Amino acid sequence: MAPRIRLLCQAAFLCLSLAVFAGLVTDRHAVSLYHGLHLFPTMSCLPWFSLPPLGTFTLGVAGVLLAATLLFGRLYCSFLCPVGFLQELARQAGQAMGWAGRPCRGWTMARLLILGLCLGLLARRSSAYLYFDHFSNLGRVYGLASRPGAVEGLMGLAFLAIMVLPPLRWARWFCGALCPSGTLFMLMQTVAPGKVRSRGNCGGDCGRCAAACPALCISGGRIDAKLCVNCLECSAACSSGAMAFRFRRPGRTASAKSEGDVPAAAALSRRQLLAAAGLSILGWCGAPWVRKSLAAAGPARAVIPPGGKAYADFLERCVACQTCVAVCPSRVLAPVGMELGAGGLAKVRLDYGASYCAYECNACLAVCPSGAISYFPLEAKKRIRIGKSRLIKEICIPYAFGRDCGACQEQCPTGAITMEPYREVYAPVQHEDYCIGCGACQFACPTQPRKAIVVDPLDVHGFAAAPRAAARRKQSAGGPVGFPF
Amino acid sequence: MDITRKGLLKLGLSAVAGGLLPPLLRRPLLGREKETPRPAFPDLVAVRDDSPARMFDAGIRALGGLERFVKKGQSVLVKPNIGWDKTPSEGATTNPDLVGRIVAAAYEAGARKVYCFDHTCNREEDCYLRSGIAAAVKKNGGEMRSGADRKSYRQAAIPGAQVLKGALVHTLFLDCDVVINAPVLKSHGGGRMTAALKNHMGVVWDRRYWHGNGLHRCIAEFPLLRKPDLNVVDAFLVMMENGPYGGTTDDLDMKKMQLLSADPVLADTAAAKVLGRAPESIPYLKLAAELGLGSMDIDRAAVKRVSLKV
Repeated sequence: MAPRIRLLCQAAFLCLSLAVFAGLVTDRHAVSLYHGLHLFPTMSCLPWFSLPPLGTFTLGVAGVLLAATLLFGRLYCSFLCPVGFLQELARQAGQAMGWAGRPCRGWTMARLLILGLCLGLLARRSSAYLYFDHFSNLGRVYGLASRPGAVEGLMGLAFLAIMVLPPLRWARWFCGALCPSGTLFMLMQTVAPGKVRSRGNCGGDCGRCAAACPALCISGGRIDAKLCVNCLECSAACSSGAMAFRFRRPGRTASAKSEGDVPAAAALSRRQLLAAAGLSILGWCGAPWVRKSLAAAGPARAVIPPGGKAYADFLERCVACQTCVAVCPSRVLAPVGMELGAGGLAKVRLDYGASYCAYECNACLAVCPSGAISYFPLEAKKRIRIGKSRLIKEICIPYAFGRDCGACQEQCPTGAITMEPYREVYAPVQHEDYCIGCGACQFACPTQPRKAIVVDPLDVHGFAAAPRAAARRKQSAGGPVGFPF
Repeated sequence: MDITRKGLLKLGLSAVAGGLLPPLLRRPLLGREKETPRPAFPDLVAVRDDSPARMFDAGIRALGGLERFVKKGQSVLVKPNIGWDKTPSEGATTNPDLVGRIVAAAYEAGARKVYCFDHTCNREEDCYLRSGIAAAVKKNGGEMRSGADRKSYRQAAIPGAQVLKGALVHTLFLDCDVVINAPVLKSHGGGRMTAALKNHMGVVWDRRYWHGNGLHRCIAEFPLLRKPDLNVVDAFLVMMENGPYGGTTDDLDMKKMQLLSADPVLADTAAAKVLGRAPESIPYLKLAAELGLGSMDIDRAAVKRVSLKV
């Protein structure tokens, strides 16, 4: 029974993750439910002294997850995690190809160091953990589908390889060697009162538990607690009842030995834990350096999404998970290549060569997991200024060639451009108080190869003035007027 | 030669016959000339003071019925302005009730199939939905087609054009038996005004070319390819300033008018006056009239004015 329920949960959660990362789910609660289960990008809001999206709801989901892990072990890893599920599928494929599976042993030091580094970065408000964290990596893998072949796609490809190739032989290799969330949950599981335990007097001679274990962490009837994801497969396979989900009051650790499991605490030496703590300090100290390298760009060099607030902060908070890119109906959001340096790779900007930011849309504001894009209701978003348009009269058609054009004014949603008489024609005049930098003018401008109106990025976003009131007197509401001809 | 009574009589009779014959032969011709001041149908019908759908019903009746334009079994394209992601109450797009009524009327006139599309400025799905036009068309049995797919456009040469010698034009505009142009009247920065002629920018793929190579010239030349069979200018809620996108609802005037004509230039001339602009101040109107696409002479046109005020 348990294996079937688990398979169902895993498959459903894989579909949910696909739907969220593909931008098919836009309901804020559904998205936040998914985000709340991923501590790494979601909790990164807290060191910024801000709440994650949907605040208490997301925190509540995260709290339930943490409490459940502390009580019942790594249920997320075994029943939900899509990355874990995909690795299990890869192992099955390896099995089908006749490759004997092996547990992912010997990475304890590495995974503790990675967790330490990631926690240090998180605490110091840097999103540089994005290279390890499974959530944003999975997002980039899904992002590959829409933009294959781009530089930023290399990150997705690399993770796809990690997720699929090593697990062909080493079961759940990413979980056991790299995943910071997995390591954190493993540490929590060592103190969990309820988890799968074995009875020491069974030698595991029948081998059913060892064969059923997706992490291949059982040998001789003993569970390796560092690798066990608490999936209940062994207890379902066990004929004698030696393997079972059992509760024990915390503190009675001595009994673990009599149970015969390899206790995680014993397997983790003091040296390893100290090294991990040391690396978290390195993460703490390294975060400003990462920040500096990102901000080395100096003034803003790319237009960032509305709700991003400040260029440097946005780049630092963005975990490059591509969720906003997928959800953008105008397809103006695009991952950055190498233009902003290696640290900016796969983070998000607006590409006005491809499209423009739709006025009646705030889709990306509702889906950011890391708080890099803050949520604003549509009416507020309509006035967020993300850039400033600049007219280059020397190549502007009415000014330079004396022909009517008006493409920019036609598209401007806020009245920041009006057409005024200029010699024989009408030429665009800017009213910068109203400009929100949406790029509609730049996208529409017909001049080639350089656009005669371009949007310059801003270091800090602001708000534009409310739409301009008509200068003319409104027609009196009196009786109907006759035909003027 | 003797002048006999008989001879005189003969001469007189033949003279009378000779004098009468040419006028007799020419009579049908003369007759038509005489009837010119009172043609069977007006050149322009202007309706006011009712809902857009009811104004259309009254207007098309005054214009001789839609059967004049749509024959049994023909395919019909209704081309409204759906350019923007805006609600009908913002006056940026053609009134959906009007579009729905035109679709229904075309079927009543015997159309085989009625299509509708626009190459929108904002995202198509948003525009089609928000304008209410997709729903109105579907409700009346018409088919909404996409204007956002380059594959549905075909290169067409525009005969007699100097600047817009060719364009990628939507196949529906090229292939449908009847085209009913149903723009909304608005002010427009570059074009000064958008109504019947300017509405053609939504049937081509590359509107940037028009902006970049003489907007007015291109607008004027495009109908050389094909003139719409009927123009229905929606002047119910008119964006008097800040068009075509519009700022606030302060830009709108409730004019409650509609202009129907087979002549897009004449319809636009009347539309300009509704908008409070001199028709001569709109360059593409003058250019189109010079190209022989229609008449700006509204004073000498047969204009039927219909007021539906109770």
